[in-house]
This record gives sequence, C-alpha cells and structure tokens, in this order.
Amino acid sequence: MEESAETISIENAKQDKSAFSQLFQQYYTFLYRYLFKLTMNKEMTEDLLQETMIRAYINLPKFRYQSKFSTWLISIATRLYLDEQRKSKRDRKRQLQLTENEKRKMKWELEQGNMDWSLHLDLFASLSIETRTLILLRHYYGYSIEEISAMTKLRKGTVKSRIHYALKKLREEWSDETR
Amino acid sequence: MKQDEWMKKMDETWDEMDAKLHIDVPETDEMLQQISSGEKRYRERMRRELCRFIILACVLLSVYMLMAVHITWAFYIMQLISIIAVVILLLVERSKGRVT
Repeated sequence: MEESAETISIENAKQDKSAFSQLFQQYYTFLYRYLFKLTMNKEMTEDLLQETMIRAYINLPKFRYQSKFSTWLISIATRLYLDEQRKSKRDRKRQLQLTENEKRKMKWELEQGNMDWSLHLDLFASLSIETRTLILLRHYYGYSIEEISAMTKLRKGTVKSRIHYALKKLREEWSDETR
Repeated sequence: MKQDEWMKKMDETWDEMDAKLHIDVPETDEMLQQISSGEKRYRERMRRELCRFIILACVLLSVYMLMAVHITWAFYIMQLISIIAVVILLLVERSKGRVT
C-alpha cells in the first residue's frame, strides 16, 4: 500500500517539477543526515544536497524501481561526494595533510552545532573518505555489500576487504585508547 | 563482544548527532528555483562538454586524413591511435556512469 503510494508520487514527479520538489522534501532530512555524517560540514552538506536534487531530477525518468527510491538517492549523493573528493585530492601527500585540517574543521563545525566530538568520531574521521563512506553505508544504514558496490562503483571484494581492515584498525585503536 | 560494543557506541554517537542536528527543509518554491537554475547549469555544462568533444574529434579527423593521404605508414599508426582513443573515451564515459 505504502509502496504503491510512493510509486504514484515518483511517477508524478517524473512529469511535474513541483511534484518532484514535494517528493524530494520527504527525503531531505534523511539525505541531509547521511551527508552530514560523511562531511561533518553544513555548507558542504547543503551544496551536495542541492546537487543531488538536481541530478535526481534530471535522471528521474531513468529510475526503473530496481532499488528503493531512498537507495537511489543515497547512491547519487555518495557518487557526487566521492567524485568531488577524488577531484580535489589527487595528491596522496596532500590528502594526508588535508585529513588533519578536515578533522579540525569537523570538530569546529560540530562544536558550533552544540555536538560533542567523541573518541569514536575522532577515530572515524581519521579514516580515508572512501572507507568512511563504506563503513557508514554498511554498518549504520545496513546496505548490503552488493548495494554498496553498485553505489560506489567498487568491486564487491574491495568493499568487503576495506570495511574489514578499517573496522579491525578502528577496534584496535579504540581498545588501545580505552585501556 | 568488543566488536559489538564498538559498533553500539558508534551508532549511539550517530543517533545523537541526528537528534542534535537542526535541519531546515526548504520550501517548495525555493526548491523549484534551485532545480531550475541547477538544471540550466547542468545542461549548459553538458553542451560545453559536447562542443569540446566535437571540436577535438574534428581536429583529430583532419590530422588523420592529412597524414593518411600523405604518408602510407601513418595510416596504420593513426588507426591504432583512434582505437586507443575510443577505448579511453569509453572508459571515461563508463566511470561517469553514462555508459554501462
């Protein structure tokens, strides 16, 4: 019942811009929260969200219900974020340096929003952007390895091993810190 | 055990973040405006990319014809280069998700 109502909304959104806006409004909070967890930066989140909305609107006629609409939207947002980061961080050395700056920025941004910077966030932020995305999608949002592989355009084996090694590293560091 | 504990803590952190995050959902009118301007920008960018591609193809074709007419061995070299260029182009388009 609920699914068919969503299908009607999506079909309407394919024809009408205003119907699309209303549909997107329903997913706005969900996407905002997801992107904020990745970027930990309000400005970047809002920019990415706007770009996601435009890409979704342009590509909506191609949406064939092969996945949930929310999964489709999250795929667009993920690819946009990863592409953006890959473009700006080709240099590995610079990337390492930026991670430190990014962490400082993230801390500041969270403090502005009256949020705490926990040890977990500190460890999470120390991971590479791609790994952060994979862990978030797998363990917080519960997507399958196949879905994540399609979203990020990485091989299933790569997704699996990156998540495995990152989690191993996180657990080890966490147990060291809490000891 | 340790594994579950870590995950639980991380999930709690994210839940807390969600709860504290203040989100202003834009009004429909504002969204419509953003879509219109964004769509225009996107189409313009695509048009520019296509123009660049056509110009490049024309230049390459001219060089190709010129060399193929004047130098016999160049014909085969240019054919090889063309095949490599097409493969590279397809790989680029595939990475952008335009070709599956």
